[in-house]
Amino acid sequence: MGVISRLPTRSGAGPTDAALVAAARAGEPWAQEALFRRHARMALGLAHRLLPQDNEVDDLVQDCFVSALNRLSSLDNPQAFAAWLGSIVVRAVGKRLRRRRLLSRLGLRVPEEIDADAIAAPSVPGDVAVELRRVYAVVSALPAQARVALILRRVDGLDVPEIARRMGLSQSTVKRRLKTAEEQLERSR
Amino acid sequence: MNDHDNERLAHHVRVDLSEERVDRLWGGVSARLGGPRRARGWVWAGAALCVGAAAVAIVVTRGNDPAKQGTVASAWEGAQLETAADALSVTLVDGSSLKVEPRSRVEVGDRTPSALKLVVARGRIACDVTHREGRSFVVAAGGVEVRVVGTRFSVANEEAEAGRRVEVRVERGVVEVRAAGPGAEVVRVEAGHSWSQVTKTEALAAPEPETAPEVEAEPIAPAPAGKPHAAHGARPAADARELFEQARGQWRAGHIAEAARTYQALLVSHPRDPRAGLAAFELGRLRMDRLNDMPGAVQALEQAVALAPGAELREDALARLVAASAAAHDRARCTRARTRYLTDYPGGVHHRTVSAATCD
Repeated sequence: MGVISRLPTRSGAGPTDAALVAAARAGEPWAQEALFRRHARMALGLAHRLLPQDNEVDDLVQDCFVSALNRLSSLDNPQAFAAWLGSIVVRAVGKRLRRRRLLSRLGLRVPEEIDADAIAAPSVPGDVAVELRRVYAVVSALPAQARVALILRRVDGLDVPEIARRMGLSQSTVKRRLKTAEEQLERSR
Repeated sequence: MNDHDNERLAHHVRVDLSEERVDRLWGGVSARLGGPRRARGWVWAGAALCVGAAAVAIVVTRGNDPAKQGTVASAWEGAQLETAADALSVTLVDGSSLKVEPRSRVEVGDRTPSALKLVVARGRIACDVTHREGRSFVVAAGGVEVRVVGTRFSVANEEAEAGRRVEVRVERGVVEVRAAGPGAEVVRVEAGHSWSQVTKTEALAAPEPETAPEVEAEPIAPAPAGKPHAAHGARPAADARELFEQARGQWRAGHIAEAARTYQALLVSHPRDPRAGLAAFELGRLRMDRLNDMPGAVQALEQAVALAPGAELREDALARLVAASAAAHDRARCTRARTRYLTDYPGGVHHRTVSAATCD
């Protein structure tokens, strides 16, 4: 087993992501589990925001972790595991949305229905609840990339370069997708 | 809304981020990691489950045909339903359903044309039994027998500090429980009630390895050089990696007390190993959820908070520390842990539970 560095983390103790990635690459199951437990909630939250009220979210998150943990050797910057995992989740969601859209067009799948009123957690401030309702009221009608870009921008608060990195698109493409989504959002007012 | 507000929006989306869900997801992920050897294991496990499920179906299908009894016996005798990380649901042909919880083993026991008996060797089974005139449905665990007419109930056979603990919970209807041991009484357990009995290891139908005295919870300190550690099932010279894997294996096999002792051995002999935080957390969970050892859980969880290899794990450990110290009636620790959690994680996933915890 490689030497595990003990640089301080957000928790104040324990190995860094880079050290865990190094150990996981060396085949240490405990390091895989530590990476999972450290980032599972981030991945679940992200997947839920992109696919709200969807019963396939657990499967998707599991697929993403299996994929990430099996492909650790392709991660250039081990300390950036979280961002890398986030981009895997975002792209997996995009792929799933495109497939669903195709199936809906072929009449093989009932179009998605999102209960926008049930998105916000209880005791959310009124303005936040209104904004969440507005966003989620339009997303099911949007093309996959526009939907993902809108949620990453409006709900996760990411900037355009970061959205582009997560989605694997150019910044100009992301801007076009956001423009489409924002126009739809404006029409819904 | 500006960017600052947008950043806050993500935190207000309703998401189940419970520890149970994370555990379940990890069960699915870990089962799919590890390469060909593990994959083959799952194939065999899946095949065994299919055979087991088919055998149960055969038993019930042919249960009303005495003429076929002799030929059916060889097909189902000794069949097992065994689960790893995921639960298994089986629907019998009469509409009865069985749910075998994760890390459980259920064997098909004796059968006559008018009776079916399942034996819970370890773990828990939940049964929703359809009433059938003239057929008895029995679930046995550790010498305890639960006799059913038509009801919904669960039977657990789990490792406890003093041996094994069998618990029966009834959700609907009534069951009759015959406790283990000669001349044991028969107790009727009604819906909404539960019954439990702790039996010593040697009294069990499913034999367990001989158990050594439980290692007392002690402050963590490196083991003296050359002095073997007392933990049962853990070789003194084992390195941290070996101990960690050994503990996981014992847990998966349902040997909870052994797994706890091995985690404890790891913490004593390798307190500075990077696995120590996770080991302390797992030890805390085992003592809290499976061994009902709240003071021990408090000690392990305090270590987990100090050693946690991630903010999320530390948050979980701190939240559990509140609950465990409340259950252990350790008011000072509970209050301290609650204050610490609420200060460190004002928007934490356990915020509501921790806020509502009563330390008095």
